[in-house]
Amino acid sequence: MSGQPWRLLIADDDPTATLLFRAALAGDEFELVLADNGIDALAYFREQAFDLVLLDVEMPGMDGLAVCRAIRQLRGFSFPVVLVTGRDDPAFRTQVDALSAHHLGKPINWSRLPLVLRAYLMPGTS
Amino acid sequence: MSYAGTAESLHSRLARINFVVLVSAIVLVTACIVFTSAWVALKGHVDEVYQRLDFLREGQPPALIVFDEAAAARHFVSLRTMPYLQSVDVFRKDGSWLAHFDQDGTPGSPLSANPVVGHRYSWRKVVFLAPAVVEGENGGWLQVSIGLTGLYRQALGYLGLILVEMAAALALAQYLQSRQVAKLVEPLHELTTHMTDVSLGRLDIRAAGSQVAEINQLAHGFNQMVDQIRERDHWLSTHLGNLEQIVEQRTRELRLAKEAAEAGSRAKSEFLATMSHEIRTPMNGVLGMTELLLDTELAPHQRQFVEAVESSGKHLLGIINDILDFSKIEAGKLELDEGNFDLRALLDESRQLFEQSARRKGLALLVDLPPEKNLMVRGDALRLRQIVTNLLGNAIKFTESGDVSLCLQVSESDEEKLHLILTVKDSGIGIPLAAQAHIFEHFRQADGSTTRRYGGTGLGLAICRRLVEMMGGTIEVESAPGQGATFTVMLELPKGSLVAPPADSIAEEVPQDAVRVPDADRHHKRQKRLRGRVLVAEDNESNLIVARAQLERMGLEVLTACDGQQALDILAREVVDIVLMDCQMPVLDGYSATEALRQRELGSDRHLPVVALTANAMTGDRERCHSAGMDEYLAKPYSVEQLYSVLAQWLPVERRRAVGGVTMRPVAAENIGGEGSGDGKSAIDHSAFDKIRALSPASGDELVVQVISAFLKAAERELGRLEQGAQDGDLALQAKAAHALKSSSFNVGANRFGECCKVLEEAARDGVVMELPANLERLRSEWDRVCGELKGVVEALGK
Repeated sequence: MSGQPWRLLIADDDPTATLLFRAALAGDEFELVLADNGIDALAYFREQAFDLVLLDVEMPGMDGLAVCRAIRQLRGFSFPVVLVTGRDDPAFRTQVDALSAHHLGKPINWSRLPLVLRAYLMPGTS
Repeated sequence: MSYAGTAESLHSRLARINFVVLVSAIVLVTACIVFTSAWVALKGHVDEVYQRLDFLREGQPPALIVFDEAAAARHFVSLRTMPYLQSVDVFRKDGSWLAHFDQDGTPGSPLSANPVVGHRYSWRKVVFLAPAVVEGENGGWLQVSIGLTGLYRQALGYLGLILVEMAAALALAQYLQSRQVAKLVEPLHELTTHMTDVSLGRLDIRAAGSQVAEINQLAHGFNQMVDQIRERDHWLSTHLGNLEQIVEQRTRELRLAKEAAEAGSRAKSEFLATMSHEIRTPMNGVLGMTELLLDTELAPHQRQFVEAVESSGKHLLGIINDILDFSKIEAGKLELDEGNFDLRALLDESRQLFEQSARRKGLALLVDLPPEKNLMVRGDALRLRQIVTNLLGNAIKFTESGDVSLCLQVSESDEEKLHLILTVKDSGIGIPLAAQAHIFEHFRQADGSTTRRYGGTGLGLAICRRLVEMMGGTIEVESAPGQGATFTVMLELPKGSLVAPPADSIAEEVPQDAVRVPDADRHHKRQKRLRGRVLVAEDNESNLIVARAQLERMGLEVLTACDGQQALDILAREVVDIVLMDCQMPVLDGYSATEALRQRELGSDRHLPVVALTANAMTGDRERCHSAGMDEYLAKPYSVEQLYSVLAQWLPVERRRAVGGVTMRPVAAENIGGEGSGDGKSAIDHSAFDKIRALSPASGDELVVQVISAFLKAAERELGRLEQGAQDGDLALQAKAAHALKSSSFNVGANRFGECCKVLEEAARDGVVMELPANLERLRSEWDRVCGELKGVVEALGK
């Protein structure tokens, strides 16, 4: 993929994760905007244009699910949203499915992260 | 379907029709015309001749003509000018020639005897005969003939001309008609092309109308057909969509039904497993304790009481085993074993087991076995023994006097298999015919009173039959009231290979279920003392007491743990020779503990024997034990003998070299950065750092340091929250803090710490308040280790 970098909005309150996101997605392919809570993330989302939003579910203030719901109201169901969480129970999964979001389990496989995000950004190619 | 080969085109067919019609018409017309003209011409000639004749008769006196040759000759001249004249003959009255003239010079034919006036046709000429009247009397004859060849020639000429004209006309007609036909046929061609198109899938075609009514109709019909096809296509495609939906729905329904069924089956298995465990565990306690009691000093009346308890306990155990067995079989969860064993020895043992009880009742126990030294077969020895025990036990139970006999007949059914007929005959109360049909069904003894008099669950025979059937055999009964009963089992078992005879017959294989150990001689217990250190991991207190007592009596030193985690901790610190590991324990169960132990042992050649103590004994349990890394297993409740024989296998009388001591030194700072993947005691999985380094090839170490520092900071914060939550009893806060800690700890390879967080998080979420303090404690101690190691890593990398 040449040309414009993908713009990603990442929200996670864990500082280790922030560092690792930056490291894993370094380079020309991705441009990152990081927030450490849901409210800021939503504000950024409203102000700037993004190609994909990655949300940690458990965050103080507004949690990932609430941010995702807001995004769905603003931008509809086709905008790619990835929810990152360690929870795997079926009730939770149904919520994720209802929001048409992708699900990424913790712990994240950092080296594979670019691949995974690419697949979400360009569905149909792999 | 095409008639291309034999069909001719419309065009040529029409052309042919046209041609034929035209030709026929023209020929007909031509014929008419020619014929008519010929006829008219002929008529004309005839009339002319008559005219000439009349003129002659008018002009000259006929007598002269008749008598006067010269005059006759003169008149020939006028006649001669007559066209087509062939011949002229003048006859006298008597018929003799007066004059003759012939165009071709042929001599004339004489007058016929009866001359007829008029004209006569023949093919080549027409002959006229006119009388020559002289003064009212016939003076002679005048015969004139005209030739028809000329006429013919004329007609022929016409014909030829007409033929030429006909040809021309035909050609013109063909040309004209072909043009017309082409125009007519063109719409048909178009229609054909349209049809090809439609068959290729283009449904937007419409045929044009035409001036010709039939073709118009055809086009119209064609259009209608195409419309119908389109409609039907549309209907089909929507219906297909529907169909797919319906199929999808049904599949989903089926899938849900299947999942429900599987869930039901799983629930059943879990129930059985839990029941097994729940029931057998206290039974183990009861029986074990009574055994121990009986080994102490007891007053006679006390001994009597305890023996009664033991007997009841064993009885209860028997009933429980029956019920569990039966449930297992009914749920399809029982699997037959395959092993080589000596059938003869098995039957002999069974005899031994029942000798005493038979003797006590005054019955003779007769056994008739084939004379071979041993009879090796392949099958499930335990279940076979169960069957024989059941039958023998019943026989003895229901017989007051007389004898009970056990008989085995063997014949070879083929190279590989033995055909066996096992008979148990007794001279007891017998079974009425009506009851015989039902005794192999569960919960049916001969009648309710039998249960009351003779005891038993009524399951024994039902189990027997099912087991026999599972082995592919049959079981039958022959009996009459008051005349005893004969039970016959017919089986085919494959031949087995020789196995070394077991040292202690009862525990030759580790039994899956409690073997019904009848009054075993307690003196057996005076075995050689064993030496060594045993770790017993068991969560049930009374079982623990029993085990300790049993093991200490054998001369072993005993350490105890009440869950898997404790066991692992002890194993890390102490030297131990063998571990008895209960499979079901809280915190960390036996399987996981063993797995962890084996993980620790990786890379070294240490292998601590682990004996599983399990109440489950369901299919797959044995595999589970083995795959977890266990070496043996004992099924609860187990007897001292069984325990002894298992331990004797692993603990020779001499003490082994320290197999334990899998204590890992705390990871020194130098080990950091190495390959450590779960290096035993290390709190950190260093491969996580490699993964981080992989993300930033240029400044991997820096990144690692950054990540760890960020983690330590965040973790301190979360731990603070956790402690706060613990103090306030705020479960939600604890869960959240634990969750946050969990997520980030995996990033830095603090996997065990992460697991502790996970456990605590789950406990907080589920509201299991009781476990929280213990979990928290564990978490704290793990944190100390993690913290220390991480700081060490940072330091090392900083250098």
